[in-house]
Amino acid sequence: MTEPIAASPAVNDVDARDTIVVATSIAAFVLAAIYWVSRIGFVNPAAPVLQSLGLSLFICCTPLQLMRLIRRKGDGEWLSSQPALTVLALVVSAFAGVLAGATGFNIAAVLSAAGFASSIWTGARWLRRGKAAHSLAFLAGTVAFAVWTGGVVWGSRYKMPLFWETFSLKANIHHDPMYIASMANMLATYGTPSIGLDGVPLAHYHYGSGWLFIQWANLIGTDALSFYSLGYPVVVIPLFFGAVLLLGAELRERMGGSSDVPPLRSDYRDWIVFLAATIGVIPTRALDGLAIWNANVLISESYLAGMPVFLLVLASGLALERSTRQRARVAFLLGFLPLALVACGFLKISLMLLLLGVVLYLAVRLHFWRSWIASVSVVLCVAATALTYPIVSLPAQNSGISPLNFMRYDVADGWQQFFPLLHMMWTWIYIAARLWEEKVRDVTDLRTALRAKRLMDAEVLFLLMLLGFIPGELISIHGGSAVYFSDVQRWVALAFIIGRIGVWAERWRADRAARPAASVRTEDGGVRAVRLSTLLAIFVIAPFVVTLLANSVQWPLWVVRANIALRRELVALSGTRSAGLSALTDPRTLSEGLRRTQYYGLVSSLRDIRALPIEERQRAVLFIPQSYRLYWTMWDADGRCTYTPLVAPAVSSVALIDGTPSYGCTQTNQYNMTAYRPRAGPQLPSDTTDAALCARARMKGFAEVIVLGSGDASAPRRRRIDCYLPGR
Amino acid sequence: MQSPIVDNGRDRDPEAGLDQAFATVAVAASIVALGLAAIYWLARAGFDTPFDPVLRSVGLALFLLDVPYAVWHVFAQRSRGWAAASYSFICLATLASIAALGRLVPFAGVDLSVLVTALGLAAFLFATFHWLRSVSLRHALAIPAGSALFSVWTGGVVWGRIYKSPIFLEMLITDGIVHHDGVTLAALGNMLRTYHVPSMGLDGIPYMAYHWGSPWLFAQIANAAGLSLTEVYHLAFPVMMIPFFFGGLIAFAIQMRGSDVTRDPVFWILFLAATVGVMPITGTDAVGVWTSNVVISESYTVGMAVGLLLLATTVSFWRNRAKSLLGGSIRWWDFAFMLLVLPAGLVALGYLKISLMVLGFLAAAYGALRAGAFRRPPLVIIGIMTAALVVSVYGRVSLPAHREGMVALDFMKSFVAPPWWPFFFLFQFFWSLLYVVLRLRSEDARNVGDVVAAAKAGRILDVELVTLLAIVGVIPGLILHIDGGSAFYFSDVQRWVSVGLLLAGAHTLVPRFRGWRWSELRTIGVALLAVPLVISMMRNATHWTARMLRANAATRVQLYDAAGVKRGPPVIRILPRLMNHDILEAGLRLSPNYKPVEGLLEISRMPLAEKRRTAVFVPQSEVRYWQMLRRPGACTFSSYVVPSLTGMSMVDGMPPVGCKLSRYYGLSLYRPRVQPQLPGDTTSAALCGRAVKEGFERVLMLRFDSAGTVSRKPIDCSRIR
Repeated sequence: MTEPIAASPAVNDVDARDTIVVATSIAAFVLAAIYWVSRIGFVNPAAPVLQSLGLSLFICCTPLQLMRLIRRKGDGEWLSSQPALTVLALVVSAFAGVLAGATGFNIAAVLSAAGFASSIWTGARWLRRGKAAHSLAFLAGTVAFAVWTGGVVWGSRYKMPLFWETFSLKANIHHDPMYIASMANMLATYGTPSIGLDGVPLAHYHYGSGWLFIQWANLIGTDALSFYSLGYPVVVIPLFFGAVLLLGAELRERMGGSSDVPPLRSDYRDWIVFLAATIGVIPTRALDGLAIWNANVLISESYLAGMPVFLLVLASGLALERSTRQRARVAFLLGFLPLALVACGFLKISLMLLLLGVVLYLAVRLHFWRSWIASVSVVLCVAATALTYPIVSLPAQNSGISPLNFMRYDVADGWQQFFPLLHMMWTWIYIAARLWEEKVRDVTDLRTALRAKRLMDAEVLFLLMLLGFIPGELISIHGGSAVYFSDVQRWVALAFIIGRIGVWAERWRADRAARPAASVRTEDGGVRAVRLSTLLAIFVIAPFVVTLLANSVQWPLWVVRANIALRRELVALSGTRSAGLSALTDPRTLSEGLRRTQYYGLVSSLRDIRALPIEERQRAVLFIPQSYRLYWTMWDADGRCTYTPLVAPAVSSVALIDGTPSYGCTQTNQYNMTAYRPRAGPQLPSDTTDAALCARARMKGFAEVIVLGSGDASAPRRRRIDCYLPGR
Repeated sequence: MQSPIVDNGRDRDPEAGLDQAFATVAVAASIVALGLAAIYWLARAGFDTPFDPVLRSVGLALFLLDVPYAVWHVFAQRSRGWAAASYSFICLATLASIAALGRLVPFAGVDLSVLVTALGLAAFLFATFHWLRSVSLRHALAIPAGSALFSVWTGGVVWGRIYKSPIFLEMLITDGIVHHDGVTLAALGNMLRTYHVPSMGLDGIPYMAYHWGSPWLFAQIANAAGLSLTEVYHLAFPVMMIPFFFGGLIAFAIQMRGSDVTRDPVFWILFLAATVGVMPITGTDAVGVWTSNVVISESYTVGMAVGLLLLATTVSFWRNRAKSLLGGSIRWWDFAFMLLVLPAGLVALGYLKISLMVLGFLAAAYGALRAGAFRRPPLVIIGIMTAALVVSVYGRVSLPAHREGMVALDFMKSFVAPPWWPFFFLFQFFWSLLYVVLRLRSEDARNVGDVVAAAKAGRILDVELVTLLAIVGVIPGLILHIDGGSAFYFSDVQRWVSVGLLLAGAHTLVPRFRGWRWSELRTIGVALLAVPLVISMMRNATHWTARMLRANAATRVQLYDAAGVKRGPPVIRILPRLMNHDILEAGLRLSPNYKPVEGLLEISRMPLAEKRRTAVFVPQSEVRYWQMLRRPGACTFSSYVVPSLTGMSMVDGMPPVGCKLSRYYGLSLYRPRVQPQLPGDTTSAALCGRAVKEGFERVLMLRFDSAGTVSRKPIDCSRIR
């Protein structure tokens, strides 16, 4: 039986929060299912997949139930708000990972159980409440959207369900995951942020996501790279989109609205905007040309891990307004906010700087200096940022002053002038709509509205847009990373629009109803009664809708094609002639093919090292002689020799010694490589003696060297040198 | 046709305004022509650039652009209502008179170019004088300045792509990397000029079914101005025809409106948006809207101008005579117009560009049907005769090789990337859609029923015709394979008709933001939205010009290199250091094609009577000739060099064995070589046997020594026989 929702803002809020939880649950489930299905025929244990799903549900679903459990009627403290509790769930899960890594005591099952229970409970309530048709349409849409996100995140060379198999075949994977994983592994093994190419010198980088992911990897019992391909999509993608929607829900609750606004699940306007802003209504190539890099958002793990925290902090800030207890406000201003800035800094510097900008702006606009707590908070925030910045900032990423750099070099030639308009389109739309909503028609009205602080939301958004725009246009930030400043406003704007669009629609309808009816000259019905404006709208909008659909299937199709292509190659390597479905999913055939791949032995050996007890790994370093060509030339063909050293620490979780790129290879100044001296000449036989290696290892504080060198055709030869034995 | 043609009282003084409007057309178009000539001349700085051809081209351009105004002002403006006295008809008549003049020159043997230039200059001064008397100072400054800037854009487009260049011959001499259109069309024009046969002249002069109207016209212009066909294509065409097209478009708008629409800034904003574009070029290219094609395809440029002027003339005729025609009081001159002007115009369009004839005929047929012409037997007979004529002409102008069968969505598959397919119709029809929407808005049509009612009342025939042109124009490219993207010349026609009509209605159709103040947020918002569009327009305006300058610099740097003078990479800023005549001349002389081109140009100076009885033969052994063109795959066009430079046909001039032949450019009319040329094929007897069969009396055998110097061996076939 379904019960119609009683129309009231409060009931809508309850339903909206349930809807968000249902959406994130479905997305997590679908992503986990895609991963598992993609691996049929390969080693495919269900436990990590279920643990990832459980972790995702714990973070996304449990906070809502916890909020309802601990909140009394009328209690609106920020601490018991859903965003704050979601941050808490993140923290709890991370420390559960720390606990698991340090002691082996793993509470993953408990967290998963809580996550599953919350999800099922919320889902059941949600299903009972709404109309079946609306619920079904929503569920179908969520599944489709999750498939798209899966396509994007796994449709690149960064992450893929068949990551190890792809690596084993031709090493055709991007080097970025190796960089992130090597840093995460060095944190896990040695407790030092480093990329571990020649010992573990300290690295400056926003390694927060690496740290977080390795804790989560501990929790679900997997390694860093496997987590990047499985846990990251299943946990972080639903969390990110959930955070966007949650910020929208908080705004909707804070700013109020009409009871005529339909509930979130059936408000098609919300979902049209959501899909348009995420998937895009113009071709992917055009979006790329305008530096609206949808794929980057989902592929960049630091950005996608940082954004939910950023959005949840903003949402918690909105919840703070309802706080009545002084202690709660003090906790937010003196504790939560500075810590949130630090967390954002470690996750993505851009987010810390933008958040600080928002804090300072609000401090000025809301006259924080009148309250000593707020003043102290501002000082703490500035101090926290100032202290965090040097730790997380990689100087090499800043290539100096370069006016309009991002527009000039990262926007398609000829389209630069459209960048401020289209890259920031959602922000402009929100601001324009808010001005319309507030009936601000001219500069005088605007001044009045600003003085009355009626447009604080629009001001914050405008500030984010401005602050996000400036860095990339002032300085050259390596690899187009300025987008991580300029893109932030998009998601905040999307959340704000979702929070407000229902109200705008009602207002629009009311305005139209108040206007005198247009005279209709033709009284006929049927086709003749069709309005020309409708026909025009269809003609104009149809290409965008078709493009949205095309964009949404483009990435998943790539994933499917790549998966099939890989299977075909493995089947061919196994010597099986058939390329039918049965062969493509046959475990024996695929396993045989995999064993015959070029890098299978190397990858297996490195993964074997990772399987060593942590104590052994902590005292050891890995040495791969330059003579082992299979390793050192794996990325020569496409000019990526400088990144080859990252593979060993990323896979084995043991640092290299004398592991800088081969002589003759131009060493990049990015990826913290400047911490190591490039080779001045070829590696000599004298450099590879046990004595020389041990001398080097001891100097860097290690007691053992694991040497991985050319072995037989199937695998490299591994041997260990104990550097504290006599004669070493 | 109704609004925007119908004056709704918003124009101040339509009668007095027309004179000023047409004067604006004449002056603005003339300044564009002068600007283009100046650019041509400047682009050749440092090379041998006789002033004479430039002056003759300018003279003809001024004649074409200003004489219509002078005639209209003096004779016709008081005869409004008579189609033959309409400005558009006078423009067409002026163009026809230039062609006739050119056709007469070889017979008369008199150089009339000086007279034409003097007349053109006088007409220009006359138009300028009248224009200056009637315009405000602001207009008097803005129109010439704007026209001069516009000429920079048009010059960039026409010479910034590889099709045409002010230094075409120098490029041919330097490295032989020129677009084949430059030689194939000149060859066709030359055959028409020398033998009066549309042919490519590769092995005799068999008739080639092709829309050879523009090459024929250019051959007559070459006669009238005493220029070579190469000079006509690279100099006279841009200087004369590009202003003629844009002037024709504006004149069309003025005539449709019946008043001076050029005083409205919105008119010029629309004009620039439709021509230069407000979307980046990569964006319009991505959806198959090629903004530069109207200027680089000479047949389309001329055809479209003629088409618009013919449409304006027809509308003028129809407006004044429709009641008489449909009411039964037909006069003899009505018959004369309908029997001569319309069919002749459609035939001319067919020879200029087939697509224009087909669309023009369909539009005329639709208009006639909607007007009820089928109720009048004389009109039905004229219609049937016109249809028969069109069918007959189609066979004469359609190259069989271009009929390549049906391929679904061929144009989109070939020229639009699949992600942009959904946007294809929206962008292709943008201007038509805009016009239709604004017109229906002006009719206060709100639903389909209102549109049907308006159509039944005959109030929106213009909307119907634009819609028809849009739909019918896009169909060929969606169902047929037409080589080289030529389906564009069907689908693009609606754009210019709609733009013309929009310009006509700029004052009445386009919504105004009256009462908007800068302090209002909506004004600021609109301005912010307009900023990127304006920047795009400015970038588009300089894009092609910069490309032209870079290409110019590249050739000069090559010549400097050849002369042993190093100047660095070919960037625009070093152009002033690349103008030394002696170095350029030395570079040219040391370039591989210098002597062959010089020798062939020497032959072109033979008397016409000699040329007409002589065919040229270049043995296959003369690799210096057969490898003159160097673009990849250019061997298939190597045969055209002789006809294009000498103005004479070849015998046995098909490209060498092993060269992959194009199916187009008339090559399919000749038999490809199946084996290498044998010694027996090059004997005087064999050559004469072939030449006589093709109607020639002499063969001129050309040999090229290792330096490329041409030696001629005349063979008199009458003696061989």
